[in-house]
Amino acid sequence: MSRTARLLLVALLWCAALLPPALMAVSLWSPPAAVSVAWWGSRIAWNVLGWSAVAFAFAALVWPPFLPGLRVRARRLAGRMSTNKNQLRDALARLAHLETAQSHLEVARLAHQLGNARQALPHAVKAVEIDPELLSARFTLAQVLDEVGQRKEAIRQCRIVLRDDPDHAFGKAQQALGEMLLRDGQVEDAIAALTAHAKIHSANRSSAFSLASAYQRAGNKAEAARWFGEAARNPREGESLSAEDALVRARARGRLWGRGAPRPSADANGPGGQP
Amino acid sequence: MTEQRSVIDEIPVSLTILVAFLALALACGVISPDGQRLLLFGSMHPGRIAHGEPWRLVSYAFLHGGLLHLVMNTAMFTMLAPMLERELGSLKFTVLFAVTAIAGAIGSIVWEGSPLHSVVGASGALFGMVGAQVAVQIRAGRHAMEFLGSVAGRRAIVFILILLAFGFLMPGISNSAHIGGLIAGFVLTLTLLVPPRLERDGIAKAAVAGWVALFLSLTAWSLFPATRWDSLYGRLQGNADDRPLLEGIAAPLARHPVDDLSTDRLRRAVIERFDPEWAEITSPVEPGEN
Repeated sequence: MSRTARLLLVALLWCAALLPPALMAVSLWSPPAAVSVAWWGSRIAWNVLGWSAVAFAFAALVWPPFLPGLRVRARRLAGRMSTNKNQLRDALARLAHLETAQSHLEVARLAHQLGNARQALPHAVKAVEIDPELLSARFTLAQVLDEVGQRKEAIRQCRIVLRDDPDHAFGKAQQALGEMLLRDGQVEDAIAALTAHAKIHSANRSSAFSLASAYQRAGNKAEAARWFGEAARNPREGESLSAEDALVRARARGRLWGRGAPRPSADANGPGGQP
Repeated sequence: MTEQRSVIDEIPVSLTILVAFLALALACGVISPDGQRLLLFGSMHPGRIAHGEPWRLVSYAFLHGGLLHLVMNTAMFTMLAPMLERELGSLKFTVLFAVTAIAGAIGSIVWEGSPLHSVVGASGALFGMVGAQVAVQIRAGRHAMEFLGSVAGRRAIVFILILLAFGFLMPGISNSAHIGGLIAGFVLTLTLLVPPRLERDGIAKAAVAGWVALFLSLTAWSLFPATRWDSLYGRLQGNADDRPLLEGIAAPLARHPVDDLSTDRLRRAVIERFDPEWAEITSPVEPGEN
């Protein structure tokens, strides 16, 4: 859970704790006012709760990414809660005895896996400093930099990785570069990187969605619809969608509906949903 | 003889509570207890708690409303309590029982909102023990979800869900007390009774303080329910000459001039103003109606 989310939850907890004393203070000033506030407050709260449930059901029905998005968040939370934190503690203990690029990389990876990019960053930097040739450390550094908002440097590190190993992490580095470029607003470079990824590694749903978004921002509606169609294609027989894939598919379906494009169909031979 | 002594040494609090369950059941009536006796021995009555009888926040957990209630709670207690008392120690177990009993009462008071909704039974505290058991298993694992990998962990979750569903489906069961006890038992054990192995950061410390503040705040609200209509009624009974209070209540009721308000009419005015549903239930039946 992020620091902001934790702070928000603690703030909510304290608000709940301070509500009864606040109402007691109101009752010192005017007892009927305190009762009125609580009475109306509880009715408003129930109404808000009821209408939220209606809005939830409505969103689940009409907005495709809603339920897959919840599924992804639940899986991420479960993943973080079920990650063995002892491994990170052990890695930190090993690092205290022997400082190598590998030991720093291990700590950076585990901290990143636990969702703590700020803890991972100094270790990823140190791993690259000790061994600049260790491409996996450089790629981890790029991912962590992207998460903490230092996108230019993240792109630079990713380009270095791809210069020395274009297939790094089975194409994940190429895809990550394309997505970082897209987030940074370098649309043409993002299209080039993601197209290269699609040619060499054949596009997955996520990279197809990113490529479609890049084309959309570049104003190429035909290519955008084509790649959104690929991201939204129905699962092939025997193909099971991961939570992330289901979310990408739902988002792509939403984009296609918004554009009035034909609904995607299962096509085992390539991009579907022809514009 | 030696074995008996060792059991008493190991789980003295559990045994004492068990004896109290049985003794009070005998005192109030085992098969069908008398309502007045339950009230005398400390059933949870929000109106009385708010008017100088705070012990009822805990004492209700030792009373039961019939043979089936007693048998079910005693069976569950003998399954959970010795295990937890051995795990936590007698002092922490006593704190757990008291806090979860209070939290169960608070849950019922907050949810029902009526000063007359009376509750007896150790169910709130028992749900607290189930929550505490889950928290102990979470702390024992290498990570928060590891306990779900074991059959016992999964059974505990299914057990909780079945009991909650049972509480929702069966009439006359205060599920709000169950939920209050469950949350309190889980949170208390996870935050204070079995703390984490690593030192807490600032946010975690603020969260622990927040839970303690919430518990104390709701306990204080149960003792002084300034936001419930009976607090106004209590004030009126204590001081019928409180003109600003009378006017505050009567002002929204233009048809009730202050000077005409007898105590009974005042009571009804307060109820009509702030709790019309309750007024409907308690309104006198007109002659000739059935």
